[in-house]
Amino acid sequence: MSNSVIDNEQSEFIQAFVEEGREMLDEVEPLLIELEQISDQSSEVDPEVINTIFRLFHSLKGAAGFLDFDTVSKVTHEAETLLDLFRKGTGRLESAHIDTLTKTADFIRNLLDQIENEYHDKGVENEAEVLIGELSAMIDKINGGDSGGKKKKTSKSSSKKAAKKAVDNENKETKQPSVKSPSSEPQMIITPEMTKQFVSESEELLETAEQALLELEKKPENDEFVSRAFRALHSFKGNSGFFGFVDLENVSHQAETVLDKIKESSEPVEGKIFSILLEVLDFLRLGVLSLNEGRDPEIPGKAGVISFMEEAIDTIDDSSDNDSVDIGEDTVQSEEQVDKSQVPEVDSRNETRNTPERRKEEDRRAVGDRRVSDRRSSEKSAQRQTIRVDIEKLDILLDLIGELVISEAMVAQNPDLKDLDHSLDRFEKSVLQLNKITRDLQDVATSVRMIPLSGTFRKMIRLVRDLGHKSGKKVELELIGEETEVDKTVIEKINDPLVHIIRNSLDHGMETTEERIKQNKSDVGKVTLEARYVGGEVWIIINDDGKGLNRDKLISKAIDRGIISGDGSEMRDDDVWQLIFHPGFSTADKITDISGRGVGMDVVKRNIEKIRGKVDVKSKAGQGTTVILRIPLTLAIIDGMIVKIGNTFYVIPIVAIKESFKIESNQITKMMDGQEIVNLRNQLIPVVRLHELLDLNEGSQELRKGIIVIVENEGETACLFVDEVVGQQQIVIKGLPEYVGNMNNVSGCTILGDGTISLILDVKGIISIAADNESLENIEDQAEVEKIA
Amino acid sequence: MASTEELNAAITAEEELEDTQEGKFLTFSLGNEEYGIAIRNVTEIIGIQNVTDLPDMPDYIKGVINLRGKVIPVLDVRLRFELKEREYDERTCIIVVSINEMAVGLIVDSVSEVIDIPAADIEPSPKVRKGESSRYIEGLGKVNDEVKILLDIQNMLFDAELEKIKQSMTE
Repeated sequence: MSNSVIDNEQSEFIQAFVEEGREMLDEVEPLLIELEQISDQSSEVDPEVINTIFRLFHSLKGAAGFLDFDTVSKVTHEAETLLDLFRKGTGRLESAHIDTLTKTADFIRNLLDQIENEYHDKGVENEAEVLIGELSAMIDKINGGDSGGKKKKTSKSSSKKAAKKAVDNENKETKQPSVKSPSSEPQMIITPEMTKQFVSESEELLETAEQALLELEKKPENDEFVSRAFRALHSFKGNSGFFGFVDLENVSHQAETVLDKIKESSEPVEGKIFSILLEVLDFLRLGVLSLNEGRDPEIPGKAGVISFMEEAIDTIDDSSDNDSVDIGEDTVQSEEQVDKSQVPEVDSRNETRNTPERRKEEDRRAVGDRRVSDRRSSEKSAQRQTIRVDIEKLDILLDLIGELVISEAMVAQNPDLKDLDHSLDRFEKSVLQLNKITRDLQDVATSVRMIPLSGTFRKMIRLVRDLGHKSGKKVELELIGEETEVDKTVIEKINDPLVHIIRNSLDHGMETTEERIKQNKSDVGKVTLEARYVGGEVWIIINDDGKGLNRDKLISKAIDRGIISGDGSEMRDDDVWQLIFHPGFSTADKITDISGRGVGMDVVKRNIEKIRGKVDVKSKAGQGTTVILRIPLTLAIIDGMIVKIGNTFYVIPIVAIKESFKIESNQITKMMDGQEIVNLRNQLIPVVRLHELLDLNEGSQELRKGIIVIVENEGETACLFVDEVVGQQQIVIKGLPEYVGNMNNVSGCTILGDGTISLILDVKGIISIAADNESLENIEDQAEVEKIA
Repeated sequence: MASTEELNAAITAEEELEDTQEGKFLTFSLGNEEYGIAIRNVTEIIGIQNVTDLPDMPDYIKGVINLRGKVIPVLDVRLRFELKEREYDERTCIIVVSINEMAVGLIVDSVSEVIDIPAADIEPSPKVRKGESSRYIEGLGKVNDEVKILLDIQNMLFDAELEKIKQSMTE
């Protein structure tokens, strides 16, 4: 397969490689850092972690090698070799190693970017050489300085070799265990979780291989499918080898060889070979499944399977050699062909060869095969616990459910119902039932889109490490509740804010090591990243034990920038902390400013607000800062209160509503500028006349005739004056058309039961307008008062 | 004059034959004049319906309508051209156009027909007056003895003026 001509399918293939590669690196990075922490603390390095990293590099190498990405493959090979030394206990892991490995990961990541765009990995050989040099120097050092006496130069390699040898002589039924017993392998501890993962991964890989083979059978000339099958099997082989499942490894290795031959062969392959390969896949599956029952993954009749494949290879070899073969041999050829084509008749159990060993195999095979067939029906279905779904389908599903919610309201509130004169009891019961089902459906659909935060959280490990190294501060990151699930959209939107907040914490919040020691704090700073459900929200809590926010500095800066008036001494702490989100705070002296945490915090807030979330800040001088991102669980559907203003219906989100009531005239104070204030239990709240704000000419103008709805946002309240409260309803949020852009006072719209569109009021915006008016008018009032005086 | 159904059928038919759309226009009337818009921009024609007001919008943006679950904005073309406002009646139509994958409804007095105007019969609008409106005119199409004012939908919808309004609003 040459890289010079990239056709569509090949490019797809490469894209898949790049994507997978990135995923692997995403996995590797946090692990490396974890390793570093462990190696810092004690000499006992978790073998499981190294194994995982090793495996990831190995898979990457395999895939890269297959695609002829030599640079990637060389570098990963070197990294793999180094890791292998730690894995076997030959070398001791030091932080220099981790650094180089991290660098390697970075290098590969960049290369993947290049591959994605240019489909090759050339042009960075120098850089690669340097890395390889670095890695191999480390390898040499470990190998040379072996005298350090790592007692754990275990029997692994030798036992593996023994196993291999046994396999080579496979035709004699070997008594060699098909799994190396873990006891002979102190470094290799295979946990049940790992096995479980192996099983599910293997199922997936085998499935991929099978699909590819089936496609290939249809279009034998298409290299892409051979490659796909090859890759899947190669990964499978790698995994099996890693776990020491010799049977699986050998059989898949052989299958891999067959595929390789197919790839090299110029002739299209004949159908028999597919039957064999598919059969082989079944055997592999059988082996994997037996793991589930806690048994070793033996493949009954392995020798037979392998020898079939060997013959298959011969067939391919012959056909590809055909071109060069003398025509005179034609008869021999075809004869041979006939013979061969009979041999691979795996399906019919009547093998043509009757050597004694083959007989033996046959018996075992018969047993195995029965297992395959009856197990596959019952167990495979039980096996599958997750399926991969195109995210687009989920989006459509959620959209449809949105439509369903609207339609349900349309039915339940259909105007025609009013014209019926008999009782609607039964109808209403049914509607109630329908309502319940729609809500359940909505819950399920929402939960389907939920993914754990762990991926996002784990990316921060790397960030904290790098920032710590750069600034020379010792920082430790603790992740809590990373299994907490949030909507996919939230995951996408939350990454940047988290990076911002953590960067701020480390840059500005965290003291230097010396300062910390001086203050009797632990010299290692601690950042905690926590996620948990609170009510209908997910809270993502970022806490540091740094020096905390400086109230005085924040206030003086806010006064400088004209953000607040007065001396700010009356401001509540919470309000002061909120200042860091003011856009004005982040514009100036980004780099030099140490005291402020203003770097991009307004962006953080805006991003969170985009997903209807809120940001809270708590801080204690000398003890640290906590930022809480509060994100609603559902994004698309909310509970809303429908109100009537004039002839138009508007929606106020229920979460914002504190209460609503009819007002008494003695509760209203009208200031000279016309601004009205309601006195509610001694709290003075400004009135917002929505008629005026929304420029509606109809409706009641008298406060006493309408209804006051008190809304709250971030501690600020306002009285919204509406004509009528119609009722509560589930609202499917729809964006306003792009054409009209963002609007003041309105955050979106929804379609009501009767098909009319109702606007959703932007409570936050309205309150801030009310507050602005008030302060503006206060100043005017004062001016007037002064004039009068 | 064709009915809305017939016109919609014609539009659908045109959509199926992408390449024949060139030179085809949907004509509609405002007052005494006939206007035309390129058929490739037109999605469908619907009757006037319940429009939900949007606050803080220029007069000619009448609000939003619910088109089979999609929320689309509607413009009153009369007001857009600063013509006299007129009560909507049963002839009033909304022409749904799609520009840059955005659907927008245009309220017009009535729709007339789908006609062919070969490029040879289209003249640029004479720049006699300082008139604002010439910016929205793609050309003048001569059909028999009549002149159809062919509109530049893109300019009409995304004029600098509107951008200004939007900007002032977001500020």
